[in-house]
Amino acid sequence: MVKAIGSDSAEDLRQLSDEELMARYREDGHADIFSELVHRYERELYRYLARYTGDPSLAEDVFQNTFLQVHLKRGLFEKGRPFRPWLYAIATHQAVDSLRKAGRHPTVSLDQRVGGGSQESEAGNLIDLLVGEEDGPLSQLEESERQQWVRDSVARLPETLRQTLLLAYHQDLKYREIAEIQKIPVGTVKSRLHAALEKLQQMARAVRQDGDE
Amino acid sequence: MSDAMKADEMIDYVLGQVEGGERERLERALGEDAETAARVERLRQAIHRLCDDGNSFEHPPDLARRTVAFVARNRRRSASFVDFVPVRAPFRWADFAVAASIFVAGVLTLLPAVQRSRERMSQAGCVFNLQQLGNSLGQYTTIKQLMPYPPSNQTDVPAGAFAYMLHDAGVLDDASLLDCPCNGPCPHVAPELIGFDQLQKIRRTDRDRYNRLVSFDYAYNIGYRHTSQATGSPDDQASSQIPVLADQPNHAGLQIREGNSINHGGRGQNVLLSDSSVRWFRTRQVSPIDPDLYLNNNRLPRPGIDAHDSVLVPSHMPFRGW
Repeated sequence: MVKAIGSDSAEDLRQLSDEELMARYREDGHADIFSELVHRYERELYRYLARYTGDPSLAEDVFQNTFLQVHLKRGLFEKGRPFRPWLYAIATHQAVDSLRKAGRHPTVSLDQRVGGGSQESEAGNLIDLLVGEEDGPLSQLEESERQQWVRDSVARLPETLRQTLLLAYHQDLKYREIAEIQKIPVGTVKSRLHAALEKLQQMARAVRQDGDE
Repeated sequence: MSDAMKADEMIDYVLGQVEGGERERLERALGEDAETAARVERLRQAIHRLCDDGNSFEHPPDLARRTVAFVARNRRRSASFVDFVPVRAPFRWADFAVAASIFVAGVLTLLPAVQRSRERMSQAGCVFNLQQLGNSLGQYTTIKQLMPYPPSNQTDVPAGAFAYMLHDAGVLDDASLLDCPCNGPCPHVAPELIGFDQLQKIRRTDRDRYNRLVSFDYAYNIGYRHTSQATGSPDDQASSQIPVLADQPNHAGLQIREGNSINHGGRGQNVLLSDSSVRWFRTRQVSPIDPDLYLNNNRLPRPGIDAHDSVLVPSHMPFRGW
């Protein structure tokens, strides 16, 4: 028997995947389906936006505007495409717009690595860089000092590297999802992530050198 | 780097990017290799120290409910056209038509330039042919002390026989030089050069083949009538720049028509001069005292009336003229 959409219980909706929910919402725009999607991403997307914008109250506005865009653009959601990257792409655009309106432009650095050696040799060098020292350059800092250093240092990363690091490390997104969000190849995602870690490690070494002096 | 795990895999594993069977394989490999496992753990701690900012960012209470209400309030908002710009457009024939139009416009823009380039290349090919033939003629003249010219009792042979005389002297082997590239490949150009005597034998036995062998794209200077009334080869003492070879004239059978050579579509003709230079002439007048390259000063396709009157006839017309 085919069940009418309007008669789906909350439990029924919870059984559906994001993509199935979005496909149904695209068809009839039922509020219960939309509410289920918002609840599913309430914690995850807010955490991303708060970290990305660095401002919890701004993140709340962006979160609401993101789902307004999901509603308005539901007709453009393509069947068969994953929902999460689509949502993150909208959220990121909304966050960038909001930061721009607030006068805080995300810095887009031209200092990005474009190629060079092979991915494998770069990864090998990165591991040597990261685990070469027994305690790491941040070991002298108190935990709260280290966390503050991380917040400041990540904020100083070029925009593309910072965004990739947030999506991969803090949001636990897969490379292919990040590639979909940023509209770049998977290999470039990995390169950016490695570059972000390398830059952070270099900044950390600078901290220790300053401390030694 | 460890054999159990490549550097790339190690970073992916620590960042939780490896899933399913691949993750199980790596975990088994780590279980068997304590050194690599320790290295992975150090890498995990190093990345954690660099990236963990201690923030948990708990969402405000009722964010989802307020968001649903916010959207409900604003859902009637008229959508701007930007909202409907697709991130990834599906295939549409209209897009294809636009792309095809741009392509056609590009081709139409480039086509004249390509055509001009091809014409310039063909023109250069024609000049090259004449220069090579000029070299052969120069060598022949050095050996024989005169330009290729048939014996006085054989002046009925066609002007094209000059190529076979050059071949007999061992200074011309490439028959393709007799084909001007500007008017397409010449179906009548001789596939290979033969001796002058053999050519005369074919003249008696196989007239069709003979006609094909003496029909090509360049006209040759058939000399001039001496004061003794005998005809003879052109005399390069008369001038340092006597026309020797040129693109064939516009002709029908044995009649020379008005206008420039047909080889270059009537725009003009390349002329090889006796000083081995090749010049482009837009008209048939090559000097103030020689108004027509293809006719003598009596307006006939016959040998010149004096040493300054050069006459170049198509390769199939006889030396003695018509």
